[in-house]
Amino acid sequence: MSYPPLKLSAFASKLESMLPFQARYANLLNEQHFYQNDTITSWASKEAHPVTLRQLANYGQKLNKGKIIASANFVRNELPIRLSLRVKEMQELKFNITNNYHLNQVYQSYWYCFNAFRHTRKIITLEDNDKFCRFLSNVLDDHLIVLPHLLMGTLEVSILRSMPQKELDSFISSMIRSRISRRVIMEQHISLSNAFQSQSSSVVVEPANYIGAAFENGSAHERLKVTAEAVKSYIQSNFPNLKMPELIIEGDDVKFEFLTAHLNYIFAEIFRNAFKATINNMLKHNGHLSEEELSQLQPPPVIVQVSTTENSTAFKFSDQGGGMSNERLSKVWSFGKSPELATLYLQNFHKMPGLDLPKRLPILDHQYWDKPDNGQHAKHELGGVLGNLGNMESSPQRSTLFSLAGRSFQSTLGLSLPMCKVYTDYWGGTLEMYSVEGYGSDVYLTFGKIGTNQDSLRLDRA
Amino acid sequence: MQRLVAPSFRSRALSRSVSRLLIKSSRFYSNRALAICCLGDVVGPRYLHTASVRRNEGGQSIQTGSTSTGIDDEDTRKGYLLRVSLERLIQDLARQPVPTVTLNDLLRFRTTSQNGKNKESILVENANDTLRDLFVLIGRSIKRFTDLPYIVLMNPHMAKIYQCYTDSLELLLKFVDECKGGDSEVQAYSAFEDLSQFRITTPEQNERFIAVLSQIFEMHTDNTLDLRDGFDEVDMRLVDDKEFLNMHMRERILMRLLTDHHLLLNSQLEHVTDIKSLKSLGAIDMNLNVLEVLNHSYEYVNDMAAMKYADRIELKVKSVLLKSDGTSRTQNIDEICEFADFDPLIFPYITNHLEYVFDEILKNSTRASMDNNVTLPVEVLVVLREPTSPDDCYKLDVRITDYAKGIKPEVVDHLFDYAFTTVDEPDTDYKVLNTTFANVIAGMGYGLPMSLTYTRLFNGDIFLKSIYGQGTTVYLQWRGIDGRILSNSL
Repeated sequence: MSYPPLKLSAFASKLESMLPFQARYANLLNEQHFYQNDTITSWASKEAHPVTLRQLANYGQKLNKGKIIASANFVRNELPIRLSLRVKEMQELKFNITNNYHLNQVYQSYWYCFNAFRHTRKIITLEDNDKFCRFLSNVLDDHLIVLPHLLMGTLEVSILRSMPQKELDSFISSMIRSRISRRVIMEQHISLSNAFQSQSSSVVVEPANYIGAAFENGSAHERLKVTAEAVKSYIQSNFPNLKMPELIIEGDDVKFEFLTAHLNYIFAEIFRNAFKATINNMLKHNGHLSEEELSQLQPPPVIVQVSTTENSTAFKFSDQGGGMSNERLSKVWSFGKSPELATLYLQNFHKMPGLDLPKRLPILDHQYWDKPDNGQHAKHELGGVLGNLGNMESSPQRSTLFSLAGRSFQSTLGLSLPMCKVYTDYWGGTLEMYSVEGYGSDVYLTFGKIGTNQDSLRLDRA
Repeated sequence: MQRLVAPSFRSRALSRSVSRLLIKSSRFYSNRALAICCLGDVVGPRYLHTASVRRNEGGQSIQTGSTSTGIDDEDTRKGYLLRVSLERLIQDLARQPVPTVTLNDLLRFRTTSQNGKNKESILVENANDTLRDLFVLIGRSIKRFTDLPYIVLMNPHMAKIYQCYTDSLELLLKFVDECKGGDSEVQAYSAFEDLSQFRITTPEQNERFIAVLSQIFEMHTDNTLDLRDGFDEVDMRLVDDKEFLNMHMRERILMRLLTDHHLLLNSQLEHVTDIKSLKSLGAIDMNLNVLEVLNHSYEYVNDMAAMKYADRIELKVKSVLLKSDGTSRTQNIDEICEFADFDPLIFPYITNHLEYVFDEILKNSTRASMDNNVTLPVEVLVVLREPTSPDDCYKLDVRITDYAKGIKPEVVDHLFDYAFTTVDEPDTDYKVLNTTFANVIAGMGYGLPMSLTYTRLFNGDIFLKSIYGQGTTVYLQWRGIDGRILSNSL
């Protein structure tokens, strides 16, 4: 790869960005920051309360005011503990890691968010809860920015080799795991509050940023079909003249509980990889054909086998996309990449629409409260792609997951499998990939059923 | 150390005219503040205000959040390459080994093989060596700091020292850029390779280099205290301060030595064309009389003691010279202030290194004597061995014995550890007086470890033996220049 030359004087000026105190972040990263750290250490020493998915799912059975208020205060106390743990973790990393432009955005966002929660007053009335829910949706909203920054920061750290790959993977996976937990807790509370409200009134106000009815007891087959269609039609738009691989589902349908957005994301990524590999493989082996002939070819199908036991549901996705070598296979699970790959992926990241998200600095704590009701402030162009994927949900989505899944066909981030793995881990599931080089690959996805032995405290991660 | 920064301006390589346009459109900074920002690129960071100032000169608070210009492409798409390249440059610099500098190296211009060179070429050659070594030492320091945990560098004391190094690097980069005509370019990930090829070639460039060096030298003068304060405040579970300080102090001393050496060389050669006639070559005093330096330290320490204790210690000195022809000469000096009446002990070396160590050891003996009401004089044995052959070197041994009741055994093991001190409260009077080496008479805890660093710099060493209840003896060993340096220059 060749790069454009840079000005030496620019190097000189850029040194400022390597300093702990930078004028543009002076609100937080100033000389008092070090001395204010007692609050972080004292909150970080409190015990985080692990929450089981079962609790989250069942909590909504019989709602009353008491439950809602209790839930609100639980969230109010729990979130700052968890946020302080992440802040503390980042503080103990090397300076040049946490000072990375992207990771620093995350650090600051978490600190401000921690501070905002810390100053929340105890919730006593339902009105308090309404305000609190608006606050939570603002938090969810504004922290969409965190995921891309985490990922871009990881890639930059990979390019510089500032951290051993294993350590980096472990750190990022844990950050994302924790993030999922926090978001689910927040989203679930909002969901409960709305459900409670709709019991009592006919008007339902749904904050635009949350996932919707958190848990669905849905059909596996249907989920598979819907996500595959969305992915397929997007890929088709890139290759209007080619035929798309068929989707074949084998095995009986299964109904199981899942969090819709997460499952959509995981399926979408797996399908994306499968379809993409299949098309690319077909093109590779038929490069000698004319366009007319190419358009006649039927690529081999992608087959999904569904099976279920008492405790779990398993999916096997098989494609004929040409497979990959053992060496390459061993690298797909890692967030940290070699410097060359990381550079490529980072550049692709930069090209993505909609992920070039809110061009604003970390939200200051008071701004979580000050903002007018959801929706207006973030007309972030999340890419026209969303249209299809978005249809799966009842309300317009602004979710990083979707914009990630809907990215341009050509660009690869190399992050789909590690990300899916974090989400599967969160659900106590497993995700593995095997390959027959020259032929195709198989992806094995399993989920434990909620409310069984699988569902233990360890699923939640502070 | 202050700097006012208009951040989004400084992070781009903008031309002056564009900067001026932006000045007009900005709501947040007074014109004067911005003018300073733009000039800053030429004048240098020393003359700007702190980034931690939250109000600009016009009194408006600098706001972050949604009302500012926000994050822009500079940081993501285009900016990332610059950021990452800069970090890569520092990694590459830090990977270079510590420059090995010997006394003979520092004096190389004195040898006959170098005689053909004229003043200008000597200065230019030394300038290039110094520049190269400085880049490496500064890079290593920066890396050492950025390897500390994030929260540690957030400590204002640590941040201040760290900034001295980044500012120094900034000055050096700008200097190279100017020599290349300004607006020079480097390849994205190969800045290190590009910089390695740069050479100072003209006396004018050397003049500019001298100015930069002076700035850098002054910037770093008082930062040892900050380091001590910083480590005091930081959670020790997060960082191994001993190891950090060991490496840091050694490289700091080296950096100051090399900088000082070039600056002195320049001023020495200004009025002289014949290098052989110089009494000092760079930082090395060719006519250093150990007895004189000893006396100087003695007076200094006693002045301090007089203030605190209204008393002084006595020094009994025995001076032994072992000459290269095998003969020896011994002198007993009861009043060291009369050193001029005795034969000198000439040991070409860096005066302030020697002086620092004498100061520290005598301070310790003085304090111990005073605290324990001991009036017995401190005995000093000075032995200078001249080289027996051109390849042999000068050797100086100084044995200092006090009868001040000795040191507790559990303390002895830690004496040479950085940050360990037996005195609880540093005396502020002495702090005020003692500016050159940023130490106090007792209590900073850096005296002995620093002394060890100084002596070991050129293959010397220190040994200490204490008899608790009786007294302490310190053995100082220094290695000097080779015999051939002096003989060849004649």
